[in-house]
Amino acid sequence: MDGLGPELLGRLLDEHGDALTLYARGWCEAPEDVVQDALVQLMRQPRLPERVVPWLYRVVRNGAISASRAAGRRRRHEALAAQREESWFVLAAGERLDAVAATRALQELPEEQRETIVARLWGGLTFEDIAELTGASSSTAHRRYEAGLAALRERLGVAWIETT
Amino acid sequence: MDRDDVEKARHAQRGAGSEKTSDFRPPTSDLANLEAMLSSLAPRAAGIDRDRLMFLAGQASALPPPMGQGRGEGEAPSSLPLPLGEGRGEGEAMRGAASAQTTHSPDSAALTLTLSQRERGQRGRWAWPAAFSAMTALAASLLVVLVNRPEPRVIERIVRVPGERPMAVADSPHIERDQPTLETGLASSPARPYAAFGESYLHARDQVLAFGLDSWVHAEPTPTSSDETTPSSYRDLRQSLLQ
Repeated sequence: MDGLGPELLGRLLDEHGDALTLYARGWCEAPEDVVQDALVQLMRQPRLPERVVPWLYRVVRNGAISASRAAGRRRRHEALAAQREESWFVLAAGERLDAVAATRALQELPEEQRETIVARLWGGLTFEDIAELTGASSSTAHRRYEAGLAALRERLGVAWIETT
Repeated sequence: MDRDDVEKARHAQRGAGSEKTSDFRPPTSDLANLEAMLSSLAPRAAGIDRDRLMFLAGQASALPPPMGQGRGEGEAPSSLPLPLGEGRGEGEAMRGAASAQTTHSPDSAALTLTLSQRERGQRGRWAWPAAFSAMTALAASLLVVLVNRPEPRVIERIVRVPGERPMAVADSPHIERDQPTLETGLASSPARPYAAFGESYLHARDQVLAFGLDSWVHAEPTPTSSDETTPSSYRDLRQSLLQ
């Protein structure tokens, strides 16, 4: 059999559920539902995709965009405004970066840069995967990543943190 | 930010992701440090209900894939690009929820749903709609045929009756007894107009067809002298024969 078993599904949820949810947060207000639907859709496949994690990111991306369109612009703005008050990351003492500040900085990034950074840093995708995911070339994905990091450095003041 | 933090962040990054190839080289050390610091931030835990997910996944694995999905997506089987640890037994809820499941574990082989069974299920799913469509098309075509069916043809046939036969009937007294006389001129034997007109039967028929039955009745001539001696009943006829 070449399907997906419950153990593998549990490991996928453990190791990629949070990152997938973070990735879907950039579009919709209910990212958990989108990730859950993506995992269920993966179970429905008679055969495993050749590369499961990029496949999941693609399904989550499509689902999140569809959910955001269904929710409507007004509700999406309200949800984004509400999300600004909460962090996308675990608040931990001793971190050099403030989780809330990082969340705000990520939310203020353009959508292409934000999804590239999230997919790269927390999703572990390669630039080829991200390029296939976003329908762009690898160099474009790389350029978006660098531009996003530079924008985050400005907003977070990492240079100042480094010097001090 | 010291070197240990960077290494810790890179380690966390490798643990969270699948493959991190060397296709990206940070242009500056600042961006590399920022990348490491961002990677050290752990995403907030997803509030996904594991039991519900397993239940839904079990349901999804038991059902055939929807149209336009599944077969085309499925590629050659390959291993997951994931570091796989030990299972935690969360599949029990899934096994309980679904009647069949595609799984790698051999202990659930009795609950597995083979691909051939899925294909049979998919064919069976199309059987009834196909039969329904075929019967609907047949019923519709029969209805069209019924509506457009032409009216039944009315065939008019003219039966020629030989002229001598009524005369023979009229001459036979016992037949006349068996066939009581009728009042109407139409129901009477064809010998009557034939004898009354003294013409051919065809001529009388043509007249009736052309001008109607009334014209024939009114045109019926007065009885001749021979008619006056015609017995009115069987008794008179017998007396006249005995004389």
